[in-house]
Amino acid sequence: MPVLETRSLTKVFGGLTAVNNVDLHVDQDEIVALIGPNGAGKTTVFNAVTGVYPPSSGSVVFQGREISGFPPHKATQLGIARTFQNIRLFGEMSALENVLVGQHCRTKYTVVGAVFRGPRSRREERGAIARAEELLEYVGLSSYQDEAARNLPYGSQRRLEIARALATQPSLLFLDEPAAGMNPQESGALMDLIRQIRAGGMTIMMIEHDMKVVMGISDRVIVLDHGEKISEGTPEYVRGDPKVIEAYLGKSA
Amino acid sequence: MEQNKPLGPLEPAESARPGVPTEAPEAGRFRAPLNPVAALFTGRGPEWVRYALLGGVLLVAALLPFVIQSDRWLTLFTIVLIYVVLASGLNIVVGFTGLLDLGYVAFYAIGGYYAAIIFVQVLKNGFGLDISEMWWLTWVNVLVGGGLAAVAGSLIGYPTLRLRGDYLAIMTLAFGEIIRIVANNWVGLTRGPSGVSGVPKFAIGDFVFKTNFRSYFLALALAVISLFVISRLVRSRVGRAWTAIRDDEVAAAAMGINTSRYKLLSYSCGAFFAGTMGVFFGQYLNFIHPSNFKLMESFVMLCLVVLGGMGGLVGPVVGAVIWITLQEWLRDFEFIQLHPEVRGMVMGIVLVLLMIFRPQGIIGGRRVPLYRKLRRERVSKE
Ligand SMILES: Nc1ncnc2c1ncn2[C@@H]1O[C@H](COP(=O)(O)OP(=O)(O)OP(=O)(O)O)[C@@H](O)[C@H]1O
Ligand SMILES: [Mg+2]
Repeated sequence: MPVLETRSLTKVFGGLTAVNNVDLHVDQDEIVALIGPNGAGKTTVFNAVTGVYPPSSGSVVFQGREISGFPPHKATQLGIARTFQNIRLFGEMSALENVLVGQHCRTKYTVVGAVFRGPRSRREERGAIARAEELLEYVGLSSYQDEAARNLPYGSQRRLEIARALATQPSLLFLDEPAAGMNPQESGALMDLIRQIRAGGMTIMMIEHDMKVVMGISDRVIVLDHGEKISEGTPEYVRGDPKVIEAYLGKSA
Repeated sequence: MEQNKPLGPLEPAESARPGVPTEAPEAGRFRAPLNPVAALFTGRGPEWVRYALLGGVLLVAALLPFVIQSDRWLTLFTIVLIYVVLASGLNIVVGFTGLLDLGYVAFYAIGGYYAAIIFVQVLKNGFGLDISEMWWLTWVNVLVGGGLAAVAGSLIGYPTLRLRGDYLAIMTLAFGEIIRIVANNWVGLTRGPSGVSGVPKFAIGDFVFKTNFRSYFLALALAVISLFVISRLVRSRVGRAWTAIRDDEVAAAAMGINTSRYKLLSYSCGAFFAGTMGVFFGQYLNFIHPSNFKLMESFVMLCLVVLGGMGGLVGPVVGAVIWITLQEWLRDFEFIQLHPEVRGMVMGIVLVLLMIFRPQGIIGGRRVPLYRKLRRERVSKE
C-alpha cells in the first residue's frame, strides 16, 4: 500500500485548472521528485494534499485513509510535514523555538499545564527542548540555536525549515524546492541530508528545479505540465522522455 | 520521544555543513553585548540579574505607599496597576498572537458589571440578602468575572476568526460599543445611566480593604499574579503557538496548530485578565457606570501596548506606568486645569512623536524566550 495516493486530483482557481486529474502515489521509503516548468501546478499539489486548500475534486489517500478536505493541522497530525517554496519560518522566533513549534502536535499540555507546570507538562517540555536541540544538531544548525530565524543565512533557513518539519514527526515529508537559492556546495550538503533523513526511515516527496539534485537522489520522478502529469519513471527514463523535453524546451510552433 | 524513530541514529550532520562553526559563535557576534537592563528585558544573560532586577522593581512597588502617602497618588498607583494588567492581557492578543482588538474594554466592563449585578442587583435587591456578610464572594468574583469575560472572548472571537486586518478591527470595535450600549440601556439589569452603586469592597472577614493603602497592595498582588500567569503562558507550548500564528499563520497550521482554536484561546486568555480587573475595579470603587467603559478606554489600552512595545512582557507594563502616570500628572498643571481639552492633545502629540522616533515602543519589540530551560535536578524527582 502506498503511503500517499491521489486519484484524479484536481484544483481549479477561478477559470484556471492548476492541477488536472493527477494520479500519483508515493511508496514507503521512496524519494519521489515532482518536477515541471514554472506554473505547472507542483506547489498546488502539495497545498491540496496538505489541506492549505481543499481539492476541487478527486481524492487524497494517506496511509489508507481518505484525507481530502482535511485542514492543514489535521494533515500534519496524521503525519504529513512540509517545507515551503518561499521560506516560511517564524521570523521573530529563535531557531530552537521554530523547532519547538514543530513539536506542537506531538505535545499535549495547554493552559493549565503551562501555568502550573505540573509534572506532565514539565516532562513534555523538557523532552521537546531536548529533541529540538537534537534536530538542530542533526541539520547542523546548533550554533544558531538562539538566533532569530530571520537572521539566518538563506541556506540555513532552508535547513531550519526541514528541521522544523521533522519535528512534527512525520511519516511523509514534502520538500518544496529545498535547494532553491543554494550554491553547488550547499545543495550537495542538502542531498546528503535528504539521503540521511530517508535512511532513517522517511518517505519523501520533493519539488525541485535543480536537476543535479533531482537526478542525484530521487528514486522516481513525476513530471507535471499545465497541471497534468505528462511523464513518470526513473530519473534516466524521464530525462529521455520526448514529452518532458518538449515541456521544458517549449512546443515547436 | 520514544515512539518516534523516523530519523534513525541522530548524528550531527557535520560533514553536511562545511563552513558552519560547531562552536557557539562569539558572544556579540549576533547580538549587542548584554547589559543588566537588557538582560531583564530580553531574558538573556545571567538569570540572577533578571531576578535581582525583578526583585528590585517589586521592592520599590511594595515600599512606594510607605514613602508616598497621599491618597491621590495611592489612587493613581492603584489605577496604574489596573492598567498594567489590562495592557498585559491585551498584549496576549495584540502582541503575541498578532490580532487587533479594539473592543478590549468590553471584557473589562463584563467583569465590572458582573460584580455589580451579582451583589447589588441579584443578591441584595433580588434576594434581599445582607451582602456585607458575603466577603468571600468578593474573591470568588475575581475568578468568575474573569471566566465570564473569557467565555465572552471566545464567543466574539468565533465570528471574527475569518476576518483580518480592517474587518477584524471594525468587528471588535463594534463589540466594545455594544457592551457599553447594552449597559446603558438595559436599565432593569444594569440601572443604565445611573450606574450601580453599593458594590461591596474586598474583605477577609472583618478586614475590609477600605483604605487606599490596603487597596494598593491588593492591586499589586493581583498584578503580580497576573503577570506571573501571563509569563508562564507565553513561555510554553501555548505561547509558542500564539507567536507562530502571529509570525505566519499558514506555517503555524502546517506545524499542526489548530489556528482557530488558538486564536480563540488567545482572545479568551486576554479577556480573562480584563474580566478580573473589571471585578477589582467595581469592588474597589464600589460604583460601576457605563462611562467607565467608553470606546476611548479601548484605545488607551491599545496605546499602552503600542507605546511600551508589543511582543514582550515588559513593554505593556512600562507603557501603563508611564502613560497613566503622565495622564494624571498633567492634571496638576494650572493651564490644563483651565483647558482640560488640551490634555488629550498633549497626550496625542507625545504619542505621535514617540511613534515617529521610536516606532517599536519604549522598550521595543524585544522578544522574550518562548521556552524555559527546566532545571535538570527535577528529573530525578519524578
Ligand atoms: N492561491 C492561488 N490562487 C490562484 N491561482 C493560483 C493560486 N496558487 C497557484 N495558482 C496558479 O496555479 C498555477 C500553478 O501554480 P503552482 O504554484 O502550483 O506552480 P508550480 O508548479 O509550483 O510553479 P513554480 O515552479 O513556479 O513554483 C499557476 O498558474 C498559479 O498562478
Ligand atoms: Mg511552486
